[in-house]
This record gives sequence, C-alpha cells and structure tokens, in this order.
Amino acid sequence: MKSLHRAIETIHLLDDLAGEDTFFTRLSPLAKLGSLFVFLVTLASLGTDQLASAFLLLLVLPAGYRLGRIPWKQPLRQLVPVLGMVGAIGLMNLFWFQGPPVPLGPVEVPGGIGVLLLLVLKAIGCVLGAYLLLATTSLEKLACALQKLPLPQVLIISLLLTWRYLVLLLQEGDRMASAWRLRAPENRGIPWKISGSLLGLLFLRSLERAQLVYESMKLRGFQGRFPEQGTIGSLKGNLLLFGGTLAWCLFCRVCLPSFIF
Amino acid sequence: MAAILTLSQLQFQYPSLRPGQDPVPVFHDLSFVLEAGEKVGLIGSNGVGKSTLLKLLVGLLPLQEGCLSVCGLPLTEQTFPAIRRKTGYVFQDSESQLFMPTVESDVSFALRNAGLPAEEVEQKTEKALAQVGMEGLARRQIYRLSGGQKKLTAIAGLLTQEPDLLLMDEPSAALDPRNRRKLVEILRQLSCAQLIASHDLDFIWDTCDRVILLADGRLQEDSSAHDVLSNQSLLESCGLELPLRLQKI
Repeated sequence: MKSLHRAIETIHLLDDLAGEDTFFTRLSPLAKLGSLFVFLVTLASLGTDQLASAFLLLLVLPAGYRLGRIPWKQPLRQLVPVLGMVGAIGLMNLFWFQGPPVPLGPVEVPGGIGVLLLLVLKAIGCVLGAYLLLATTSLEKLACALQKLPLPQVLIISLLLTWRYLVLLLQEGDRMASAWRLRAPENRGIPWKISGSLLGLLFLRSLERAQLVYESMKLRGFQGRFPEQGTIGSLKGNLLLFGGTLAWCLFCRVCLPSFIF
Repeated sequence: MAAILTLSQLQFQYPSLRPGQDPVPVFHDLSFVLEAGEKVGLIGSNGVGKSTLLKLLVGLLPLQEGCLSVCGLPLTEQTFPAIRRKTGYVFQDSESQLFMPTVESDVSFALRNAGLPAEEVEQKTEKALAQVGMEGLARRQIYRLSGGQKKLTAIAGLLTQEPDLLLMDEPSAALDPRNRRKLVEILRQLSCAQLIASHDLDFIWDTCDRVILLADGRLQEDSSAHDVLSNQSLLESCGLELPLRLQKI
C-alpha cells in the first residue's frame, strides 16, 4: 500500500517537474527526444570492450539533471528494482561467460565481470535518461512531438493514454487498499485468497474511470490527435542540446582511445 | 427561435448482461422541449435516469427509440462533433473529467483542439478562469486541487467553449457553501440554456426557472420551479422531499 502511494507520488512529481520553468523544460520536445534517442542508441551499441566509453557517456546525465534542477532521490529509487534484475542476470555471466578478459582503462577484468558492469551501466543510462526526459517534458508535449514523426497515431495515443490511465489504476488501487485497511484492521495486508477477486474489481473500476476520462476527452473535441502544447524553445538551445549530445556520443563511441585511461 | 433541445417519445433501457435476463428499462415516452436561454432542473430519486438522460443528449449512450434534436441538429453519429462543440457537459465526478496535468492546460484543451490561435486560447482561458474565481491557479497541478476546485476547473473548461446548452450532473456535489454560492452566481449570469440534474433541490430552486420531475421512467411533472418544488405531496410520491428552505425542522 505504501508502494502504491509512492508510485502515485512519483508520477505526480514527474508532472510537477515537467511543469517548472527551467532551461530544459523550455526546449523543444523533439530536440529532447532526439537527444535521448541518440544517447540510448550509442549506449546500446557499446560492447564489453568499450566499458570506459560507457562510463564516460553516462557523465552527460549529471549535467542534464543539474541543468533541469531535478532532484536525484527519486530516479535513484527507480533504479533499485532495475539494478536488482539486471544484476541477477549479470551475475549469472560470472559463471557462464566464456569470453576473454575485457579492458577497463589500464586494467583487464574477467569477461563475466565486464558483461555485468556493461549491463549495469546500460541499465543506469536507460533509466536515468528516460527519467530526465519525463521530468522535463510532459507526456502531452511528447505526444505532440511524436505526432510530427512518421509514427502510427494509434501508438502515440496508446502511449499517452497508458500513462494517464496508469495513474487512475494506481489511484483506484490505493483507494481499495485504504478501504481494506480501514475495514479489516486486524489483517496485515490483503490475504492471497481474495487478492484475485480484488484485482478483478480493480481492473473493472479502473476501466470505468478510464472510460469516463475518454468520454470527457471526446466531449471536448478530441478526435485522435493531441493539440499543440505551447512554445518550442529557442533554436539555439535546441541545437545546442541535440548537437552537444550527438557530439559527446560520437566522441565516446568512435573517437575515445582506451589508452588515455 | 428554434428550441435548443427537443425530445420526443424517448425510450431507453440498459441491455441485460446475461442471456435470458430482461433488459433494465430506464425511461419511456419521454418528451419535452428546452428553449434557448431556459434554465431547467432535472430532478428525481436515485436511479430514475437523470444521468442516463444527460449522457444520451451528448451521444455517450446510443439512442434507441424516439427523436432527439440538440441545438437544432438531430442526434446522429455524424452530428456528434457539431453537437459536442455546442454543448458543455459537467460530469458528476469531476476527477474523471480532468485529464491534463495543469489547470491551464485542461481548461484550454477544447480550444486547442479546435485549432484556435494561441493568443485567443490564452485570452479565453483567462476569462473562463476569472469567471470561476480560479485565475490565480492556472499553473497549479490538477492533483493538488481540492474537490471543489476540480469542479470549478471542469466548469471553466466548458465555459471556454461558450456552449449553447450546458448539461450538469450534480454540479453542487462536493462544493463548500462559498463555492456553491459562487456557482449559483455563475450559472445565473450565463445566458446559455441549462439542464441541471441534481438532488440538491435548494440549488435547483436558486438556479432554475423550470423543473422536470422524473419518476418510474416517466415525466411526472414539467412546470415552474416554484410550483414543483413547493408541492410536498408530489415530491413525496416521487421519492423526494421539499427543499430544506421549505421544510419545517
């Protein structure tokens, strides 16, 4: 139940941060999306022999968080379950990986450790990069930006509505959990025996609320495309962000020689 | 002047969920007319079909039998967008009506959808927020609003559309006395036709000139607000009571 609260707070915090007036929030969503895409593609393309590049590539994230005035506590908390999962998979490589040792700057580490480290770095980059985008750009602005790309409209609307409906699901779950807690104070948590029926009820109620939200959108003229949301920031700022990210990614991927470490 | 709303022999029933089960009838042979600028209250006991009727009027439920014309247009799938542009609907649960992150973005949603220029959107949004007394909260996140503030935000969102017909489902629910009074003043000042479904008979007394009373799926009475709301025997026969101001406590 506390975790439901926390999840709702996380989403609200992201909405709050995206609504603030900072250098990042003023930039074009397309520029931010493009920069994240370049960053993630570069990170994904790095192999175990490029651990140093992966470390260096991630340095762009603290700069982004600083410019966006985003607190670190929440995103680091989001990392915990991801790192747990990735770490478990990566740990298996310590025993099963048969490849040669990999360079980490001036030293060499066993291949299994190299794979584990790479997986962890990629996970960190993905989670913190995506969080940075969501904390500086509202979903609605992102949807408008995505509409300018040759992507299926259904995909964009699904993405946006999934985010909005997720909040409804969590709120309904929180409401039901609170009602349970108040009406069954002697129970610690919800027993397994009835969790199935409660889950079904949760989905039904969330579906009803989602239906109401959708009806409200239709009644106010929504016909499958999201309207434009505000300004797109200065051209210089957008170019600086995208160009800077691209240059840094190219440097880390292509130009960085391993001997400087 | 053409009527804003015309219902003729309207019938509606909810389909049965299981085979062999009878459908649930809601109302039958419902007919009335609403003229431009008229303020009409829709009252009846729980489950009589007030919310169902309002949903029918904006095409959220399918028209089964009868004729329905809204703002001069027959209610069909082709005319839904045009009718919805001319009508405003306030949900019973305003939490579900608000879907954008901030007050300003939600209130201006319909205007942006209509493709209006940014300046005009800003102007109309500010005007609507000022009308409901929320001008200082334009940048506030929706989740931080109280229940009453959410209701006022939902109403502001509809005022931007300058509707010809305003449909409201329990608008005074969750409002404190001050906001309730504010809402009464706002509705009195609006010149558009209004159809207000409410259990708050005092609110209906304050805002409506005419009242339609539904009971047992039929129109029991359609008369002036004063005549209907002061008729104790009529109200009690339909599962209601006199407004609080007329009750001797």
